[in-house]
Amino acid sequence: MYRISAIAIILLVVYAGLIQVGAFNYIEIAGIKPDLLLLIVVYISLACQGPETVKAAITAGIIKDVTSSAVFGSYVLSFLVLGLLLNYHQRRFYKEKILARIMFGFCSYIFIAIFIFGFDAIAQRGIGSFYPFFNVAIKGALYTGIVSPLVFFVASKILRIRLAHVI
Amino acid sequence: MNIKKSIPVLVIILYIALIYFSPPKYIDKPKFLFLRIAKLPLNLTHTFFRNINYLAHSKDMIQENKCLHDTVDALTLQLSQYKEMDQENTRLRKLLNFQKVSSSKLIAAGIIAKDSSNFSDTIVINQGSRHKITQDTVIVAEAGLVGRVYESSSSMSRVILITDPNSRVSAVCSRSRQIGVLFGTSSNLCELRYLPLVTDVLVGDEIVTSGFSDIYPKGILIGHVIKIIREQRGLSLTAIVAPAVDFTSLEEVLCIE
Repeated sequence: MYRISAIAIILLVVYAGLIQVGAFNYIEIAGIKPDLLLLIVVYISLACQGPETVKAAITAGIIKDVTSSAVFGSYVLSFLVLGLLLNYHQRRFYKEKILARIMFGFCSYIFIAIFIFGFDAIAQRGIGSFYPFFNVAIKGALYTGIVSPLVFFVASKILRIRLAHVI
Repeated sequence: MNIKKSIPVLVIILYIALIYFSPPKYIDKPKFLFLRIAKLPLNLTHTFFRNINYLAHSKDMIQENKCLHDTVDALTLQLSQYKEMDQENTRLRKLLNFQKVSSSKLIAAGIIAKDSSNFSDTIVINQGSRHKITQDTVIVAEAGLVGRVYESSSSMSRVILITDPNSRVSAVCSRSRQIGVLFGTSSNLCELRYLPLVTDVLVGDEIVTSGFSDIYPKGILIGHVIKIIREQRGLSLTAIVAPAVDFTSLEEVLCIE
């Protein structure tokens, strides 16, 4: 597994965050946009070691928490749990196929959605209904899954990592 | 038991306890601290991508500009007629001893950032409590209702849009005066629910705020009905409403003080 400097990881995640907040508003389809930050966390969890995953998950989580109306800390925590889970079990889960990448993007999005909806419900923010979950989460997961091979490819070029060599 | 492995579980339990027992405003306080730090890069990124979008659509914009000039000419003429009518209205109100309708002050604000998540529809504007923008301040654009302020700091506020799944607005069909509750759906559409089964709401009807609320003033345009859903065994009708405001290209808003 690769070791990458903390600065490189934070810079990559911050850059992805700025693209997420700025450019991704223009590629929305019916109000749904892919989650670039989540994909970056997933990629780093698969390619790097635990400390890198933690740094990426915390940075990406803070950016998501600050730029959304979710309960503060919910993205940090859910990204950390997802990242560490993927990091521990990367060999068992990952296959170097496009379909596997799409499935990773899709499932990770659903995993995060369950966490966010759960935390919001606990904090009594009034979501309380599964309508937005089915309406938004499935579409968002599909869109995120579809763009995940491209994001993984670009991330591997930037970080000069090949998942096939790692796993 | 492996202590190392149980740490994440403990952290989650502690976090759940924290968010369950403390009011949201205390949990969300650090958000504005981070937002204040990120204000400049967010603003720059937003402006950068907006300008790229402008460049990509420059041809359309020239044409739109021409159309808008024509519209401005027509509206200027209409405005002078309305001014005349307003004066007449004031005179008649005085004559009938009617209460004066409060005229609200509008404060312009720019958008710093849009929501990065699909589960909520919020924007961050560059006006806060220092500019008299407080919680529940109503936000509008030229085209119609945008939403209300959800939380504010001294120099920034987070606005919950009418398309957010947590947004509820009391709304009325301007033609038939049928009242319903407008729900956000997190897509670019809203749902006007709880309309009576025998209702006179048609596709294309204008939906405006009803005024039956402590937050939203009466008569602000929300959008137009694009579809009516009649559920089997349902006790009420639901109308799908397309907001009058295009939230994807929204850049500036007005806050009703």
